[in-house]
Amino acid sequence: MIYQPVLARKKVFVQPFLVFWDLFLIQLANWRWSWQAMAINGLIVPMTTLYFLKTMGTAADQPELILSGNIIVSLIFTTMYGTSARFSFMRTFGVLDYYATLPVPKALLVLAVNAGFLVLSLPTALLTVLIGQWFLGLNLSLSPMFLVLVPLASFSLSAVGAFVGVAAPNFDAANTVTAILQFIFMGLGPVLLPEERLPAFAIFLGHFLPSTYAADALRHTLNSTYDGRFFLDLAFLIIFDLLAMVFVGYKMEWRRG
Amino acid sequence: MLNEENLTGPVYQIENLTKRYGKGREAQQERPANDAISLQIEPGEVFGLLGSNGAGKSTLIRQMVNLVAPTSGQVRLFGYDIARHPEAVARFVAYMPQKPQALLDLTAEEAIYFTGHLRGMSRVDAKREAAQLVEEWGLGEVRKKAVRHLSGGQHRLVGLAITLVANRPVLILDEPTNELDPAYRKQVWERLVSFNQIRKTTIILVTHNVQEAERVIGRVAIMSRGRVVGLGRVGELKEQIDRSVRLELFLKPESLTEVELFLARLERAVPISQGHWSVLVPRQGAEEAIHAILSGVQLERLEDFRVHTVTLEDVYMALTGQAIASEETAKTAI
Repeated sequence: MIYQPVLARKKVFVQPFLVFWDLFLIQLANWRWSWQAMAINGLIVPMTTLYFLKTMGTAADQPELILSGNIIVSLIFTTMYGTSARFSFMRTFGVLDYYATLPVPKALLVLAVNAGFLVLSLPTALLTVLIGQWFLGLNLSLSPMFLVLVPLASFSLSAVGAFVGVAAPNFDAANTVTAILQFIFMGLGPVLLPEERLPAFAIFLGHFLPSTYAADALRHTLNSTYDGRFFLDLAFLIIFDLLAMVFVGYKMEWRRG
Repeated sequence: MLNEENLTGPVYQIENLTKRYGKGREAQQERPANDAISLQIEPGEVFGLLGSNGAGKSTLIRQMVNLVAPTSGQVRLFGYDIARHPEAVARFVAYMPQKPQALLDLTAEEAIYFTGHLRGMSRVDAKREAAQLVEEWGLGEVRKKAVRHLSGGQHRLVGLAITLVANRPVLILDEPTNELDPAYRKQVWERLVSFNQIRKTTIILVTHNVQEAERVIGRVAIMSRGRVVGLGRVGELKEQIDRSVRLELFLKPESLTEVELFLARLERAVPISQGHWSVLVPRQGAEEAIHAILSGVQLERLEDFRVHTVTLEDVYMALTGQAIASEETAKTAI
């Protein structure tokens, strides 16, 4: 008897979820021995940035900007870096070969890897908010919208990391490109610094980066101000995430040569 | 849509398969990894791909599981062109690469379970089979350890168990007994033979462990420099290189130079490794010929010598002009 692949069975809406769930659990199993190091990595940079921005008095009148910016920094250092490293590792060391010979759609693998990193990034994002609030003397009440926005922001950044991972020629190249992108995503656009302190070219280029929209939307969430700009940010992130996932799946080639 | 109820005809039909790595002029100048390979693999057979490292066998099987795109030619699996129907590979084939790198952070049992479930088994069946395979392959004591922390041999056994789970009709195994100790190697060969005989599973083996593989392989393709230089039943191929007798000589290190000078002059003498030579002697008049060679070499210069009839390794040497081990040594030296 040849087992029918899960996806070939009749319940078309349930079966992709079952495949996704397996792939997602495999991703989580990958972190069980190393999540502590990843979490610390995701906390150190935003905490350091927070400390410097506070002590230098940068944007002292906009503590929400510092806080939202540091949540994005935390996501950049967990999800963007992590997915880039993960996908380039899978490509370079033949892990993708395993999935390529199973009845597994590429899009579900991309989604599962990114969802795995989301689970890893959520606690660090929440810790950044809690520690940041205390450090900046803020008293914010977290809106449920925060729990919608962090995944959207996380997926947009992990999709960029995944793209680098599948497109870079090797593991080292992926690491280098991601390191450069991490600074670009933090520096271009009003992520850590207010718009008035950025040069015009940085503001202009920031319009093309999901980090700008994610930081702005998070700022709105922390202030509980849901205006047109917030919904524009939200729409951008949703569309970017969907397109990016499809594009990464398309770009990720099972076959070589 | 694949029709799995009616799997008739050859398992694999490979036609004129060529693979050149690189692009443009670089690809034209390089020797192709595969060069116009055509062969057919029938249901239920144990088919061996034999050759040294760099002979093109790994490229060929990676093309057979659709991991490498051919430059030209076609691979059909149960009649489906796998370039147009890549889902056929996922549905019918279980592939074990030479160095399995996936699922290293899972435990052995988890890795087998997830693979079984993704291949379509129910959760209950996948769990049961994973537990069973862990026991059968002697992995019970390390079942809770991450695959990454297992020894090379245990890692390979996990790879084999992952390949066997969910009972795919075609198994493709790239060097399945590498890094295994003799007891485990014996167990692997026995298990594969039993799979083939009881479940009628088609098994395609890539190996350079010729002596062991010879006991299980029905038909073999011998590859050298990207080409198939011999194809047929093991017995037929042996007949092709006449009914010779093989004399193996193990030289004492202090006599290497002198003895090797003598052996190099013999027509069918081939070095296998450092101090290890093989000489093919026609069966007719073998006693005299062996006596003459041993007299020329002088027994006191030998650590050991063995005489036996033709093996698959001899077939390989006759067809390629080299011993598998010596080709590997040459490749490593490069």
